[in-house]
Amino acid sequence: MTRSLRDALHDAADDAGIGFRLTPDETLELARRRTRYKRWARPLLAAGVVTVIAGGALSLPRIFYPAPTAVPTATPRVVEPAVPPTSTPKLVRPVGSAVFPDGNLTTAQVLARCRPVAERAFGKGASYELGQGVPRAGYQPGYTVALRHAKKRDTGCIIPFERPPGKVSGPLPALSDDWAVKQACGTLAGHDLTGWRTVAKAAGNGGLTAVFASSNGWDATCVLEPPTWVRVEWRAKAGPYVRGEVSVHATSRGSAPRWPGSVTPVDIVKGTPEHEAGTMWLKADTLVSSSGVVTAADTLTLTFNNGHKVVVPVVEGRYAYVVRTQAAAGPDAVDVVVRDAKGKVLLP
Amino acid sequence: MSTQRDAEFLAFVTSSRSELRRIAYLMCRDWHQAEDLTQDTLVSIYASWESIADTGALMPYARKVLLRKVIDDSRRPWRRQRVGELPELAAQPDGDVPYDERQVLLAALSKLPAGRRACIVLRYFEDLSVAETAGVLGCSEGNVKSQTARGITELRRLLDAAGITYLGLMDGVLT
Repeated sequence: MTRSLRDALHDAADDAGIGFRLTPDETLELARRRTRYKRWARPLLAAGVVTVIAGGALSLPRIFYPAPTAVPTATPRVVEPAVPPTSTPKLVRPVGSAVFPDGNLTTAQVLARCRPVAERAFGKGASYELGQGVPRAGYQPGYTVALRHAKKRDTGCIIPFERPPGKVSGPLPALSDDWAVKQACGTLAGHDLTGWRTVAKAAGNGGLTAVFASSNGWDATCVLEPPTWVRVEWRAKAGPYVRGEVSVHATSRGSAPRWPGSVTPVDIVKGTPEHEAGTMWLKADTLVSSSGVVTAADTLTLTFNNGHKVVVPVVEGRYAYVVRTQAAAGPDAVDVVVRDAKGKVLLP
Repeated sequence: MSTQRDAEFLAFVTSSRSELRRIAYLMCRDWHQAEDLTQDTLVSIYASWESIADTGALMPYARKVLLRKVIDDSRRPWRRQRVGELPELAAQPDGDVPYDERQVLLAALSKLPAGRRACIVLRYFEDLSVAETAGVLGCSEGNVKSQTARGITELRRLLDAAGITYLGLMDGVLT
């Protein structure tokens, strides 16, 4: 097989289905915080140096390190419901469609869904076009496209689902309340997931992850974090709302291989919000090879660099976990092994 | 902080972060690290947003900052190296886009010195000209040409050994 190096590089760096840990808004917030920190740190450091030179005792205020929020020290390793199961309300709970109609949107649909973004950037009624070629997997909600205007600078648009994403107030639903979990994930995504089938789900320490399957070859992965978690990157509470990420990907042959390859083992634990008292590892995903969903997979073993080992069941090629450990976050913090029911290693 | 500045930054983050992360991934072969480097890059750019007068130069500037961070990161004495071997080629499933081929390419790319790797990524992945690549890397055009040519030669040797051939591998190297 001979192809061009350019195509091969683009294939090798295909990030379809690999979400970002931070949204653009969170990146902005992080950038603001860092900038504020630098503005405070420079004069304070200068003052500190002067103090040392003068022979005085250096006593910098703790503004560099905001007081950590008190957190429980126990490290439960057993997956458990996020909150105790509540009694089922007597309300009618509508169940939506199991079919995902949004796969491979047309260019016209993408332009229409991105119109609000374009109008904010280019002005009302402005004409614009997509500034890049059609991605290999087609246009899907969650994919970022560039909008191009004849005279103004490009702007980016994350293709929305058919509805704008909503906010979910805490606390998280109980893991046993399947409808409520789908409802929360669907609200965050902007797409009704209540008709989809829950294939794998897990919860622990307040976090919740799940994989849902549509009836027409699409999987939705959902990761929810409670508003009470403190992120090390921010050293601040996320806010009153549940934080979450929902992404949809095809499970058919020919979609981007999503094996957690042995050369990038940490890829399987992307999305690692860190807790002050340790590290939270959350992930929900589908094991997809170029042949389709890897249904032969039975377990997935995570071995962290502090020796902590967790075995996660794989159901129909899907898995979900929430693990809390004292292992430090980092690219080589965990090794991942996928095995079949007989214990044969499928990966790496 | 001005609201306009934040809105401009937000638009830039949304439109550029995927491309930046993919560049970083080709350089470091690790999506997690690639995302960290991309975040660091974007945060650095925000800090100097006011001083970037030409908004058209944002992406070249971002590439420059990102590659500097990647190369700096690779030089840190305390960085952790992966010690994994490539997966067995025969164990990989067949498909339209061979997964094993990607891994072989990434492994070969990672064996090149960072400067040569950057030249190949910018020239072949980003489709930048020699002059643009030189601008991003802060070196002469002659340096870019020689680094690219050496990188491609080395890459071809490594890929030949793995039985992979790419069309037009030397195209554009000397232009």
